[in-house]
Amino acid sequence: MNTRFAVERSTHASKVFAASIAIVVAALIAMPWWGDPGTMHLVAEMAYFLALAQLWNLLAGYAGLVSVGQQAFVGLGGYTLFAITDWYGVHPLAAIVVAGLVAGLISIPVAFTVFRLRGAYFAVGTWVVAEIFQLFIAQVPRLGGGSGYSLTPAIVQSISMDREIRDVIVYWLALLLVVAVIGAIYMLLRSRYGLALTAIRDSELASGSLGVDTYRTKLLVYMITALCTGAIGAFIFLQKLRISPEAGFSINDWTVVVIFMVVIGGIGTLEGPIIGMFVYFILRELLADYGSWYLIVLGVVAVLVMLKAREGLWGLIARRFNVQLFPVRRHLVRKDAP
Amino acid sequence: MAALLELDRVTKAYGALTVAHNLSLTVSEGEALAVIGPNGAGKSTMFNLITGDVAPDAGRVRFAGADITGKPPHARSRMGIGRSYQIPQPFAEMTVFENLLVGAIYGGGRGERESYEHCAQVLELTGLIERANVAARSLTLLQRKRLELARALAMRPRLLLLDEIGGGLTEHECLALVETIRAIHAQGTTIVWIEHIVHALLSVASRLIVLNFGEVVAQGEPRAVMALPRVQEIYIGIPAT
Repeated sequence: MNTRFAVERSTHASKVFAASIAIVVAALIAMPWWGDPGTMHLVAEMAYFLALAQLWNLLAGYAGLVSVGQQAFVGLGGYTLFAITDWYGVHPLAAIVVAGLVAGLISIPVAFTVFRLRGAYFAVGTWVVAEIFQLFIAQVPRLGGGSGYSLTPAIVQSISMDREIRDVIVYWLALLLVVAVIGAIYMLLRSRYGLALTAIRDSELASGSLGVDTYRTKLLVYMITALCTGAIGAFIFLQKLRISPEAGFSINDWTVVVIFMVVIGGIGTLEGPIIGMFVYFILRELLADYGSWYLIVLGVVAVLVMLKAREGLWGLIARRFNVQLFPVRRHLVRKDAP
Repeated sequence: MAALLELDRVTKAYGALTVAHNLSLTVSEGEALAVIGPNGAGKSTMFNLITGDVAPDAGRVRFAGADITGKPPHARSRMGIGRSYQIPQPFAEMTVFENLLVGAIYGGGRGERESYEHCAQVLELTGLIERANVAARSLTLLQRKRLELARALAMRPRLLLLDEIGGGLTEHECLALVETIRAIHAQGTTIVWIEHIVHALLSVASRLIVLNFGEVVAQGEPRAVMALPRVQEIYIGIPAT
């Protein structure tokens, strides 16, 4: 029998968006020639926060694993980088990859523990695990104990002797990380695993009865997320040059802010965290001179969005205009008879 | 005919409430079995025990010769058990077509591309083809029930468990649904169908069982079973005289 149906993926909006993204990324790559160091530093920070937000979104928004303990893997990644560069002389850029693998490996026993818990208990459990890692590391004198640990100049200089070149390399690394993370998540969501993940997000019960192995899928997502979060943690502290248990395992910096971005922008979409990241940074820059008002305004915005637009800002836009910028959907089209 | 599904003295209780009591049942390959019983009789629980959504306290469940009592729902669906839920569970933000793809790829164990044509055919069969590209959340209740059926069919199940997919239909729609199910049965799919619309059941099923308090209280040729005084009493509420 002849095939009468076909499937289309991209839409007009998505093609325009892909072209715009390519232009923006090209402009950002070229920034060392047109931007100043301060802007580059800010863009690098936006990049790694966006990567963290996309990862948390994959975890909570798709796999339904609402973790408030992802700082565990940021801290582990950071400490791994400091330890292996200092003790074993591993090159810092290679150490980012190793730190990711270490975080991914550690996430396996962690998953078998926290996966016994459901819903709110799972969230609390992940937080407890992160606290345990923090307390444990503070007891290790070789890692600086409670007071922290600095990268030696020799390690930093192994990236480049020239400080300006070093800053550019670190900046490009931030861009590479965020593009790689978003690209990987996008490919994942477009594939058949994306179907399974979206199905679990919408109804875990029905997913199981249609053949989706929900436990294994979630476990895989948890491990991938931990691996990438660890690599980003290693990058963050390579840029900061100093790590301490409080900074490495900070729930505020690496989880609360990230959840804010995802929830404000729109959980369970690829577009949402991007919008949320911009909202967060705009508010932060605007309110930089007003001290604690900054946190109060963030809280008010979060509460308002949760009450008035539960699907986030992107949810409002997507419904209003029926658009999808990352074409993860499949459209069935009838082929015309010959 | 060989037994496809076998429940062997299955028991399930929630505290003092027993929803399946020493329930034994055999469904033959190719059979169309109808299940009736009052609300709370344990009909949906029986389905949950078959699909693995609920684990029994005692007893065994066998499918196609294998003991599946300890298997999780996804493993059972991959063996060929498809179901619809009484309260529809659509993947709300996915399109109707994508809802079917999940069943075809994961439950049916087929590749994505080779599933497109089959899913489109199931959408035509179930009257959802015009809605293929809309998000499942925008479907009406009737269309959601259709989607439950379509999604299970996309798996190409050997055994299809239908849980009240006819509720709320008009007479005309009900006839169309019966025709659809009859066609599915004619292609060799074994069917167990829970329904309150008895005449719809009788036109497809060759055997009827009546459940009450988690037990089979009557079974046999549908019209004969319906005529039994104790069935009339339990099910329709006419006291036996």
